[in-house]
Amino acid sequence: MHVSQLLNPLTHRVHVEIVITSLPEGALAPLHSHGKLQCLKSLCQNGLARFAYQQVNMLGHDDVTAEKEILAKPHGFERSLEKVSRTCVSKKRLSAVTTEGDEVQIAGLLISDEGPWHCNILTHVSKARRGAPSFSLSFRPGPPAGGDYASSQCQPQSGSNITYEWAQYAASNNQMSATTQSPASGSVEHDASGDVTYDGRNSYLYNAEGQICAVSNTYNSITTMIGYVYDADGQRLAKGTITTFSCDVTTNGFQTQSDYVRDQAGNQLSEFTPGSGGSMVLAHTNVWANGVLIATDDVNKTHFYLNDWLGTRRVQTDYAGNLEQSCASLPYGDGETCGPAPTENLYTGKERDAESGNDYFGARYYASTMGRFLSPDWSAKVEPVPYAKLGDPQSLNLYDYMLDNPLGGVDADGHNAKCKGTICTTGIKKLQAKQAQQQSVKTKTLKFLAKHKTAVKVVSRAIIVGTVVSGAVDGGASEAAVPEEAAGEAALETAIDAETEGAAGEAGEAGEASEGAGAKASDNLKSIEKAQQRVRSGSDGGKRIIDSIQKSVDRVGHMLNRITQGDYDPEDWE
Amino acid sequence: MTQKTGNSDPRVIEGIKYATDLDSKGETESAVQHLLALTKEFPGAASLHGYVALFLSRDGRLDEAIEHGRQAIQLSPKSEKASLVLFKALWTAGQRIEALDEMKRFLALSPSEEYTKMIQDWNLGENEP
Repeated sequence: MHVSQLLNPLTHRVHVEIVITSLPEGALAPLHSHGKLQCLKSLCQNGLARFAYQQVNMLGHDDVTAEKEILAKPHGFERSLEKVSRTCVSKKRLSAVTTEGDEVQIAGLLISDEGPWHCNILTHVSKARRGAPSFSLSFRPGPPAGGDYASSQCQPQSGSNITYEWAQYAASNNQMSATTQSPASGSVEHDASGDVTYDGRNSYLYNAEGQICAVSNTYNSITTMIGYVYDADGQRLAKGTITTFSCDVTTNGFQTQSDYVRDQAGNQLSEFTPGSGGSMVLAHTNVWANGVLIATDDVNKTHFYLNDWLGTRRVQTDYAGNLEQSCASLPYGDGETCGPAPTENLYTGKERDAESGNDYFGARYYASTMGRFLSPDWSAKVEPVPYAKLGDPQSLNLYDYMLDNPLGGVDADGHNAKCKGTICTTGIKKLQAKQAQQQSVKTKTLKFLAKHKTAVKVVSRAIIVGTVVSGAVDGGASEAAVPEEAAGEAALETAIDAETEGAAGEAGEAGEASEGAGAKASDNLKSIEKAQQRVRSGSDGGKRIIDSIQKSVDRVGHMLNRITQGDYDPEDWE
Repeated sequence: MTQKTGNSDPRVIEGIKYATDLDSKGETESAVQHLLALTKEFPGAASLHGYVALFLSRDGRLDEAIEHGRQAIQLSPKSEKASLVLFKALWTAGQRIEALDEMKRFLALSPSEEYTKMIQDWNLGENEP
């Protein structure tokens, strides 16, 4: 089966083409979520279906019905799709189709508003499967904003031979309490900060900054434990095995498996892995262009990627253009068919951790199996609900991914989507916000590490903006030291300062342009208050300030005049 | 999911282009009236109020400019452009403390390269305390 997706940038309408070349009856077409198609019967074989749907609107409803959008229907599909569309037009979620005639039936059960199926508006069917003697329907939880998703609202009639998947959320905080959609069915546990500590398969530990620092799972009686180490900017520097389920790298037996070199945006530039003799050797180097991974260089020379509009790898070739692999995945990133070679950057170019299946988005980790982040969103500046827009209820959910519209753009850094249009902007404001966050993280990290007398040796980074990086890690990125109290704190501060300044300097023009904007907001506010005092005083100093501000106002006036001369950007006004 | 404020609506974009064309021909009042008519249809579009404020401010109608500047920042509190429009109008109107208050408000919400550059230019440390 071949699936291709194309986004019309003008209408934001996603056109999905599904060409089924060989699919045995009862097989599950790996496509689901918002308005998707499942191939359920042999009639799907050799069928071609094209249909389109729009972005879900603010209430999570599709704006169009499938029946209007079907451009071509495989034999036997037309009536089914129309029936489904009519039946569930108010739900906007049911995507399963099957059987012939006017009725939608699965194993003899009629699906209709009055039928055995009772779903609330937040529910949509994500999978359907027919297979004698029973069949199953799977549900994917819809956005929980505005209400609870109670499993009782999606119960099949008693006596019907149906299995189903479900999830439960706490209405007060959107935390998922239990689900069959986690890596393994079961309860989902959170700590007091709202971070997921157990998702049904993996157990997680978090450090003081709220970052996952250890993952543990047991499969076939084999327990795997992996630890993560971060730098002062909050970027993951290293990954390694641990022998004790603890965040303390001085005692948990951390053995480095991967060292990372990253650019300022947090993208992985190079990965180093243990070589012979215990030294770390370059495993691969990634090439990024405008935030999109386009190639990777490793021992097998260069591999090139053809990505979809989200930056998710779809086709991979070798340096000569020969196909190496093609990749399919679902809108939320689950169902990935490609392996982590030559690099593990897959869904929207983010790193997928083999040990957990989660994607590292920088600020947080994303579980594509559940379609949500493992931690609530946070911002450097304390806000009741970070990045929330009251006009968009979905933004009140601190765990959601891309405001529950995963095809609408990419989450650049693990914070709630701040995207407009089809692709997130990574302009100066975003860089400034990131720098402010980094400053905050640095300060907090200093305090925390000094308090615990533990220093993580930061690695030096070699960054060449916009091109390939060949960086060398200065020693083990995850090496930990326990310095003498005073000397250790001073050394740590020096190291972090040097690292921060070095990174800023290496960032070239981009770093220089935004350097001033990286000043602490609190300092700026104090300066303004000081200026106000002087203006009020009417003193000579006040007059000098007024003159100085007047020059600034004149400069701003020139800048604003330019936008009255046709230089209009809607995003400037959002 | 994009929140529909209207700023990106093709009719708003076209309307602003039309207004700036009128303005460039010296028909600023017509440009203002055209944009004001659009605000009734797109009450959530901060850009319309921002452009109205810009035109009025340049024509010296500062009280009206301030009013529309305030509407722009209410609709888009984190828009640096909207904030700068209001800041300039307030400062030009002699409401200097209020202008600086607007600067504080915006910086409390979002980083700003423009405002930060301004503050650095003040050289506060070189003068009296």
